[in-house]
Amino acid sequence: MKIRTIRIVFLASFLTILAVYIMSPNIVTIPMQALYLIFPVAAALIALYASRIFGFKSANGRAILLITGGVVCWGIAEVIGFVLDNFLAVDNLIPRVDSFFFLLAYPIFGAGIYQCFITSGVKLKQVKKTLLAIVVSISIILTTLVGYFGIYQAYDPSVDLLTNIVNIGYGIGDLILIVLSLLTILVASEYKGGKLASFWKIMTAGFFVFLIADTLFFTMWGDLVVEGTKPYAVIVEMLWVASYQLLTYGLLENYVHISSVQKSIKLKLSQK
Amino acid sequence: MEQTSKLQKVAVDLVLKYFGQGTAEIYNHFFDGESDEDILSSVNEIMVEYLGEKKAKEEIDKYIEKAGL
Repeated sequence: MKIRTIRIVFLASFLTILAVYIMSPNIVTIPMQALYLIFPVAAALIALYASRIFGFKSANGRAILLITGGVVCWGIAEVIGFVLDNFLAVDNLIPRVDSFFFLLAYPIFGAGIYQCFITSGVKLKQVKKTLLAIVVSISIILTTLVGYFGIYQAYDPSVDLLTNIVNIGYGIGDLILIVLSLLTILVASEYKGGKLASFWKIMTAGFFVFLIADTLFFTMWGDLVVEGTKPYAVIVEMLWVASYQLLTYGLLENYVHISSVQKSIKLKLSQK
Repeated sequence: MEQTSKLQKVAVDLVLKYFGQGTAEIYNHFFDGESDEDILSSVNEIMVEYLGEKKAKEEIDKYIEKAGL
């Protein structure tokens, strides 16, 4: 499998779904939701396929397996959400099982990124001050936005405690994701010039795109997205699609690299 | 011979840490009978490509020092 081919497939699938979303008169239909579902499901399956190359004894592999666990949780959540919304008529029931899987992904991502942070041996004192200043500034801005819109405004005194916990849980999850994304920037800087840096940069981009979509959904356009109002619903859904694609692409590119290392050494071994 | 097998172990541990069990096993076979110089050169090549030059050197030095070589 060549990286160039993978890039073309990913770009083509993104443009195809974008065109379908733009041309479709109603995007809140079962076929359209099924089309969207292809991306999280594909992300979960590809992530599982790609991460099995490491096994459990590798420190770097454990981090990647945990990231895979988070992607799989989101994939499961999307499938359950699709079924609940379209076939079981429980779309107003909160908390839902899909919320559980969505929220479960955050601590799993956290564990994975913590593992990679430890493995990389990043020392904050050695990180360039400019990079650290940028990272801290971004984190303050994003934390303020998500803290206000995703937590403070998400609290509704008129609903029960469990519903509030779930609603606020998404905001807290996004805050965790902000911190994690920033840690991945530091990890990527530690592996400057290497393929692993490229992997963590793509993961960071995937998390940030997801955060942007989540922030738009939970702060301004939630109802418009649920109703399928264009262009808001298209923008948010395509950002989620892009996020799934970035996470999948990062894992797949990393797999292709490890796989090519294995092939190359097997070839040398056979020539010995 | 003792020295070579010690270096081989260090190199395989490093490959295991970043590339996983499968890759480490293949390298372990490949390193059999190789000289210290060749083992170091091979492990350096894949580490530099994956981790970048600075981190690769840091990791290799750390592992070699830890093994007392």
